[in-house]
Amino acid sequence: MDALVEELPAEAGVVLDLVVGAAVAYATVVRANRVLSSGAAYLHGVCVAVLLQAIAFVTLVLVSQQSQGSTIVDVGLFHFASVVRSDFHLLHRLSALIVRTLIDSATAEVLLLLLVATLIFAIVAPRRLRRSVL
Amino acid sequence: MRRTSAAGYSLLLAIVTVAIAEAALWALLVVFSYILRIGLTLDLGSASLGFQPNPPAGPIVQLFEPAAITSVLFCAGCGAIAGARAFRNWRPAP
Repeated sequence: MDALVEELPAEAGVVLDLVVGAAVAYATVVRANRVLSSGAAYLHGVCVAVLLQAIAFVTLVLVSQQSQGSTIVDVGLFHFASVVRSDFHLLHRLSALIVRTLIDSATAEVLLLLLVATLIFAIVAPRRLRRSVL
Repeated sequence: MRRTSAAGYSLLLAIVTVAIAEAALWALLVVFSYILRIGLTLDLGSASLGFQPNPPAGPIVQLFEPAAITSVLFCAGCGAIAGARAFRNWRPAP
């Protein structure tokens, strides 16, 4: 195998083929074992949860941009999050009077789009890999 | 005995996975705060962890204790549901 790999031309396409081949081989081994398969699914679920929370954070920032005052997220008695504008914040009141820069909404939207694209990739990739293995 | 230790190790691995995922999430939030130039404060009981761009600009997002607890539970729950589903629906390859 070593000799075969060394004889191959050092091109980007060949490297990509080798990486995809290794991924498919790993996926085949993981899918053949029930416990490994469950572990991989657990890891996948945690990754999706992290992406969803990152999307929620950026969405909160974008929504707070629409309101003039503070945005507060409460569920019953529990305070989850709040978005306080700088000029309402005691510590930064003085500096905010001098420097007042609003968030560039476009940056937040680009971040949100990137996160959604990553989430779609994370959900679709295992199915694609399963199809390619079968 | 082997089953018990295997279950213990699996649980430990699951907890470590969630801890790494949470650390990655908080790091991601700090990076987003830097990109968007907003302040980020995490209030955990009497302790408070903050990130503020210099010079201070934009709003300050404060995340409280229930948000952190919900985040951990959500991560663990999503992983557990996905893992259990894969374990139940697993079929040997033909």
